[in-house]
This record gives sequence, structure tokens and C-alpha cells, in this order.
Amino acid sequence: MPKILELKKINKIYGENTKVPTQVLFDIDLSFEESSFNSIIGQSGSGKSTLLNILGTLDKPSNGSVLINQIETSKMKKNQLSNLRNETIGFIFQFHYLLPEFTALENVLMPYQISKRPITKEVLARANELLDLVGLEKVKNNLSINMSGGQQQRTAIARSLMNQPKIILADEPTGNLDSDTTEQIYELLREINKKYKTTFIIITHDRHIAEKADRIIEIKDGRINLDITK
Amino acid sequence: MKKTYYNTFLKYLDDENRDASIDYALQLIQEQKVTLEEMYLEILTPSLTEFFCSNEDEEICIWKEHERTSIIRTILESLYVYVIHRKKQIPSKGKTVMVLCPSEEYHEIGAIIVSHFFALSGYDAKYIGANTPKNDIVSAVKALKPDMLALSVTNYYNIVVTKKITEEIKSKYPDVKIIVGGQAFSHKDALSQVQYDYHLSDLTTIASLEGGKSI
Amino acid sequence: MKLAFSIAKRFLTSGKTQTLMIALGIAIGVSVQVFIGSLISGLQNSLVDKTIGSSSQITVKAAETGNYISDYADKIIVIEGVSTDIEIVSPAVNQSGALVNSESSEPVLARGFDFSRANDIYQFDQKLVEGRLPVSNNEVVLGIDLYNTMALSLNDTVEFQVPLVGTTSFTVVGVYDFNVKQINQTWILTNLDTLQDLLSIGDEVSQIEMQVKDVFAAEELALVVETTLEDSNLTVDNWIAQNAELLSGLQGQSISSLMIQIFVMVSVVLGISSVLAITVLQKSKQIGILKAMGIKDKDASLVFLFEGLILGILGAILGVLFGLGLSYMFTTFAIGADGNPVVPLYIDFGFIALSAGIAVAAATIASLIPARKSSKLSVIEVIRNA
Repeated sequence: MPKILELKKINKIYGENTKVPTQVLFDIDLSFEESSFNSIIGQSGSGKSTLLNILGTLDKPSNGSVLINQIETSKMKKNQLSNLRNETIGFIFQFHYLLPEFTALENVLMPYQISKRPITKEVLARANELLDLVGLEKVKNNLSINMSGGQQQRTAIARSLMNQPKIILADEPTGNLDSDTTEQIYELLREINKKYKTTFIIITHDRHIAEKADRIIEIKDGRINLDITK
Repeated sequence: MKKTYYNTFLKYLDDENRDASIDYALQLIQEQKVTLEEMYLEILTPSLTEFFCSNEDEEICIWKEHERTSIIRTILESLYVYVIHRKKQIPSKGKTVMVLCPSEEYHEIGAIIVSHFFALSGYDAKYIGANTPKNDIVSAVKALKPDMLALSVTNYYNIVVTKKITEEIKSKYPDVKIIVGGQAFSHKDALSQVQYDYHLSDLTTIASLEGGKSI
Repeated sequence: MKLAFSIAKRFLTSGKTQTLMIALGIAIGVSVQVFIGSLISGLQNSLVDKTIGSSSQITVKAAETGNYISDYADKIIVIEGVSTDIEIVSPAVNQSGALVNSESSEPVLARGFDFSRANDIYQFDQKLVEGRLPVSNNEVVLGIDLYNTMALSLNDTVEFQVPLVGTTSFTVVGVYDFNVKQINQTWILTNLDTLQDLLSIGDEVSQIEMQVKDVFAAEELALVVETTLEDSNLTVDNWIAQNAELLSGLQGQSISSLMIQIFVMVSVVLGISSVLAITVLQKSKQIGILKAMGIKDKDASLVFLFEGLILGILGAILGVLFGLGLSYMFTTFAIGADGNPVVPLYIDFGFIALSAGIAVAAATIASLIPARKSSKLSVIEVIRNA
């Protein structure tokens, strides 16, 4: 299996130039295989979110290199990184982060609009199909603030899939949802993983999600404490 | 010969016939057609591990498996009378072993069988139970001062907590030998994550375990 | 561009109250601008009009007192050719003397005009209160004050005595009122021929009077006229040189009006930029997620630039409407005893367009700071501070 994401000797130090620098990640070496379903667990403050943000090029490591699709990202310009994120990575965050001013459908279309390609009938059909997939056909024209937490999270999932990214990074995607909704969201993610061969890296504290992943990585005090594959 | 017993037993199980299954298993021991070890290794264990669900609906398979497990647990508990009987006939090794499953681990059949095997081999086997929280394990080790601690883990997510347990026991009670076993350790890299002295993959090796070390 | 614009538009329409408040803020600035501008220029126009509107703004005279201008008809043609800004050119003969009848003798200034031209400067026809303008020689129109002082009536005959020159008799054919006592008491109006005959100067005149399109350009134009005529026997005077005080008054007014307008604009700019800065904070979550999805920094800042632009346009349109409304109300309700507005407003559409344009530009410039902030916003800050 080719490696879609690779971290090499990643260190992350906050406040490097201050008197009290805090190192949150220590020499992390990690790689992910294409179309795998991975979970990252760890206590809060363990550095797992920082790790995910570095994986998604949202944050830069203090040193070490991040390879996405075997391409070194540290020397890329901001605009190149923006393009890379837009095309290759989908994000799902705990607080779903929809644009409240836009409808569910418009939110789903947003990553495509950011790529500045014209919205064709096919693209619109795809957005609708994704909303159907996450079971939101009835509320797709609702403003996102008028939807329930579960619906918003499904919208965020549909949005993350819009540009057919190879990788989906999710930080506590079910963190504030009830257990039934959590189960549904998990099933949905797994289905997408199978259907589109999308690589998933999910931070979760929910053991029901973690134990179903192909691989569990535990981060403790900025280091990989445990790494097991099913 | 033994294969016939197994097939007959399996037929009762497949029909979910609790009474007939239990009756048949106990009868085999009573009539000394099979030994306790044979019962564990050749009939009960395979009936669980070789369980094949032809039903396409996954949910049906799950409750079928649970019912089957329950029947076998009843058999195991009923068989303990025979274990006591055997214990009296063999010399004690004077060693204590604590058998348990870590927290959130509910698959305890393996652990029960292991504890019976230890007893049959002359150990003082203490079966603590399924789903034992880390702190309770630590205080049990403190109170019972066992020579060995056997952890049975099925779900691979529980490697996470098993790692924590083994690390704490090893740091606080370095003399206690840790034995690990169960399906979870068949996963790649799983064994390397925990601190252990012996990985139990074959029940017959229990007899030759000396103080946690293999011969 | 389109993406940033549509996001900006949506941000604005989703917070309608806030958008309206900001637009109103700009609108009030613009309306004050429009109103004050119209008021001040109306004030200035009426002041200028009252003072020099009915008088010569540029005057060509003989350099030495007592001399006259010969070939004035040719000179008028030359002057008319100087610039289209010179709208009216009119010859005049002046002679002081005494107006005498059986009861009294009053010092006067006789002014001989070519009425077909001079009327454009002085609007005599509108100022006549009785009778008519002179048509033939030795007919005269008097100011109302003089007329009353001498207790005259129409068609009376009076004598005009000029010491050392002679005497001629005039028939009173009309009475004017310039609303200025000085003029009403001293000026007597007759035609060119009457005075030329009296003074025996042939076809010569005392001065050539002009009115120009832009009264404030009189000084420059006077200079051009002087250099064009190129005659050392002539001097060219202009109203600005004669009315320095009025001019400095007007300039002071212009400057204070400009200051008011600048301060209004500054407060509008500060207001918009601070409000937009707050909206960046409000929208930081959205900007963060857009950046995570790969929006370019440039587009992220364009969103706020467009917000500024849209708010500016909205505010400018509203402001112009308010300003015009305010002006209308002022002219309707603030009226004097005569039924005319206290201050006639001068609605200059060029100036209104400029005010609107400045507001739009100011709003856009004000949004530069938040736009920069948005561009610099890092996704990670937003996510961590969630």
C-alpha cells in the first residue's frame, strides 16, 4: 500500500522565542496508508490535535517534514498549501464549523467554489448526491444555523467530501453528539471509506469509534505511546 | 471418536438447545468419555472459535454468538466441580495466579478456561472476572500478592488499557510475572505494546509454566 | 473575485440590522456632507450674487482720470474674443454732477449705458418700480431714494449741471430700486449718447464693464484682458481687488466648510473601519474554516474589501437621498418673511457625486485594515480558540 501521508521527525514547540517554550510533539514518525481508517486517541493536551493540524498543513511543525502524496510540504508557499488542502484534504471538526450564513447545500458546494471552477450541473448533482448520502435531502436548503447538531455534522461530512479528497482529517467528529448519532456518523464514515477509498484519520475519545478503526494510535505527552493495527 | 462427540455437541449448539447441550457435555465428563482438558481444548474452545454464522445479517450472528457463549459459560461453571475434584488429586505448586479481563473487556470465556487450566496444573488460580478496572487490579495484586497475573484480552482496543495496566504493575510490583493472551494479541504490533513475561497462545503450555517462565 | 463578492454579500445580508446600521452611519455622514455643502455654496452664491451679481466684475478704464476710451466698439470685440468665460461686455460713460430742480440740488453720478447690454449686468428692467428705461436721448431713470428726496414725479424735467462743462435737462421716465441706499440716492441712468453729447467726447466711453461666468476667476481673467488689450492708456480692475474683505470672508467660509466635510469623512472612515474590524472578529470562525478549505489569503481579504465597498455604495445612496431630503425640508420650512428660503440652497450634482464617491472610497479604504487582518488570520488560532 502506498503511503499517502508521512510525518518524519516532527517536533512542535510553542513559544520558541520566549523564555518558556513548550514542546508539544517530540520526534514523531508516522505514516498512513492509502484508504486506511485510522484513529488517534489520547488525553486532552497530549498533542493529538496539534498533530492532526500539522497533518492537514493548518499548522507548521517546528522541524521535521510532512509528506502528502509523497510531496514535501514544508517548502510550499501559502497559496500552494491552500490549493493542496482544497484538492487533497477534507476536514471535519468537532464544532462542525459550517458557515452559518449559508444553506447546507451552499456549504457543501463551498470547497468547490473556493477552487474557482464553474458550478456545472454535474457538480450540483454531486453536492446533492452527497447530501442524500448523509441523509439530508429534506433540509439541504435550510440555513445551517437552523439545523440540529447531527445534521450540521453530516453537512460538514458531505462538505469534506465535495472535492473528492484523498484524505479526511477529523477532530472529534462526534464529540458533541449523542451515542445514537455517533453510531450513525461512524457508519457513514466507514461507508465513505469503503466507497471512495478515502483515507480517514480521526481523533476521538469515543472507544466505540476507535475500536472499529483499522489502526489505533495513542499519543501521550507528545509522543506515540501505542500504535496497533488490526 | 472425539470428533463425533464434538459434532454431536455442535449440533445441539446450532439448534440453540441449551438443555441438551449442557446435558450432553456433562454426560461426556461423567461417563469419562473425555477428560476435562479434552473437553476444554477439543470441544468447548473450537465450538466458539470455529463459530461460523451463515446468516448474512450481522445482528443475528451477534445474538447467536452471545447465546452460544452463555451456554458454554454454564457448562464451564458446572464443570468446576470436577476441577475441584482433580485439584485434590494433584500436588499443589504453591504458586498463585490471578486471572482476569481488563476494563471494558467482556469476553471472559477464555479467561475462565485459563483459570481452570491453571487450577488443573496445580496452581492456586484466582479468577477475578471480566471488565476489571485498572485500580481494582492494582489493589487486588497488592492484597493477594500473586506470583503471576494473567490478562485475557479479546478486543484490540483494550490493548490501550492493557498497556497501562502492565506498565503500572511492572513498576509497582516488578516480581509479579505477567502473562497475556487472547485474540487481541494476534494483531500486528499488539504484543510489542505491552510489558509481559509470557504470551500464552497454547493452553497446553500452562502445565509447563514455572513461575511465569516457559521452560 | 466573484467568490469573495458573493461571500461578502451573504455576510452582509445575513446580518441585516448590523449592515443597515453601518450603512446608516455612512449615510448620515454623506447627508451632512451634501447638506452642509449645498448650504455653504448656496450661502456663498447668494452673497456673491447680492454683492457683485448686479455690478461690473471686471472694468476697463482709462489709466488717467478724465481720459476716455476711444474705439471702444473694437475693444469690446477684442474682449469678447478673450474667453467665453466673459459673458457680458458693456460700455458706460460716467459723469458726476448735480441734479437740480426748483426746490433742491443733489449730487449725483450720471451713468450712460447701452441698455441692451447693460441690462444683462444690472437687470434694470427687474429693478424698475415705476415707468420705463430711457429709449431716447435726455431721458433719465432715478433711484427711488433720490426720486423721493427731490419729490419728483414721472415726466418731470430736471437739470443736470456739470461744473465747467455745462448743463442739460433730463426727463424723468422711470424709477428703480437697487435695494442699496448709496446707489438709489446717487445713480441716475441715461443712455450713452446723452452723456457723450454733454461731455462732447464723440464716440468715447469712460469704461467697459464685464460680467464673467465664474466670479472667482475674475482676477485671472482681468489679467488676460489687460495683456490682450496691450494698451498702456488703459487699466483693468476687477471686483476681487476691490472687495478683498468679502473675498476673505468667503474663503473662510469655504475652508470651514471643507474642514467640516473632512471631519465628517474622517469620522465615517473611523466608524467603518472599527465596525468592519469587529466583523472580522465576528467572522473569524468563518474565515478560519474557509482557509482550512483552501481559500487564498487574497480572497479572504477581498471579502472585507467588498464589504466596505458595498457598505460605501449603500451608505452613499442613502446619504445622498437623506441629504437632498434635508435640503428640501430646509428650503421648505426655513423661509423668510418674503416667502423665500432664508438661505437659498445650491444643489450642485457634481459636488453630490463627489461626496458620494468620497464616501465609497473612504469605506473601501477603511476596510483595508480589516482586510489585512483577515488575510493574516491563521486557521490554527481560530480552531484553537473555538
